[in-house]
Amino acid sequence: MADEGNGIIRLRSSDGKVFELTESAAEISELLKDSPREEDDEVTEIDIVRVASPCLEKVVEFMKHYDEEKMKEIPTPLGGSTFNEVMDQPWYQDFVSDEKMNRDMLFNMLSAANFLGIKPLLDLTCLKVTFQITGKNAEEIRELLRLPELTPEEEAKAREEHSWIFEEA
Amino acid sequence: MEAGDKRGCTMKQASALTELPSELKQRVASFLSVRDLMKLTKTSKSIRSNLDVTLVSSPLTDRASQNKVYQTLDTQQCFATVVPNQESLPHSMTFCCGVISAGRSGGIVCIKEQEIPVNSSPNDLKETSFAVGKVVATIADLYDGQRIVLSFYPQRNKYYQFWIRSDGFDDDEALPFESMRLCCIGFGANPMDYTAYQYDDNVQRRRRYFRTVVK
Repeated sequence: MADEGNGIIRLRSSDGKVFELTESAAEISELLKDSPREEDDEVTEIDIVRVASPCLEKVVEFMKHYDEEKMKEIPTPLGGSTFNEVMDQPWYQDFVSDEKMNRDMLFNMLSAANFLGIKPLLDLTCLKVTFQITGKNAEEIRELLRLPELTPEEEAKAREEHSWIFEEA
Repeated sequence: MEAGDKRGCTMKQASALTELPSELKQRVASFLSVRDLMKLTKTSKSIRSNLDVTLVSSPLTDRASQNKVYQTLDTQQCFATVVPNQESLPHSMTFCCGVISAGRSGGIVCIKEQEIPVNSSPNDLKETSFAVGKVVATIADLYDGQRIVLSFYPQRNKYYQFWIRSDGFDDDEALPFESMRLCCIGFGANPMDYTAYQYDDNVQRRRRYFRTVVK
């Protein structure tokens, strides 16, 4: 029987690639933690259907690192005006840097974190998206997030509903 | 290496914010400032619908209310304490008002975050001095006719005091503000109740509490 926390979890991506991590590292995931296992199994294999290998590889990388260096909780309101001010741990800054993670990957990671119940990864990716939006006007946000445009009627309604907030100096 | 249990998990891949579940959009939005949140709600109908931003707007007091006794002259006054419902904190709260008279040399309005010991009442905050607590929002150099908008982000087990500090206003019997409102911003149908204790000078009982839902 595997010692508690020392077993191996194998996650299989949608395209058939397998990524291994320890049970200890997998504990961060609510879904994996609650996944039933046979007591005698040293290895548990779980199919993560429809999560492609590039995304799952990054998720596993995160879980392994988190097992060694916990990510600090992100306070609200945010304690800084830039992403790196709020997230001051270099490894986590680098993990979601623009050079390492494009926009599509970021949203896939966010979705995967939600599905797997990995709260720190969810917070990190949400924070990254937040700072992509921060300081931009509606048009820039629409372009960044590839959102459909508002009709003139919808825009007028939005301004009417939230007019008070635009009084801010 | 042995293979143990083999289980399947499915999820929908998302490539843009619009494709994420509403709760994730709200999680992203929870980190945004009030201004950026409002900008985001303007970007698309689906975003606005998914975020389901709710505004709860309540008058704090106004020129005509009986909560207008206000003493000034080289002093500072706490004129209200707000106690957010700890079970369902909103995204943010925003205090809005108009400045009727800024007095001889402007003044400061600030919101302070306070903690009180367990089993104490928020009413005990009446005894605290201006020096106690953490300033979470402030605006200085007030001028006549100014529109004030101050936002803060309620935290669990914290209370919020509204202070005004000035070396003197033209009208020393009333708060020199009009149209004082407190707006709560939250997501979904979560109730965003709060209790506002408003103080007359030396009057220590709870004042009005009501709310208007604006969606």
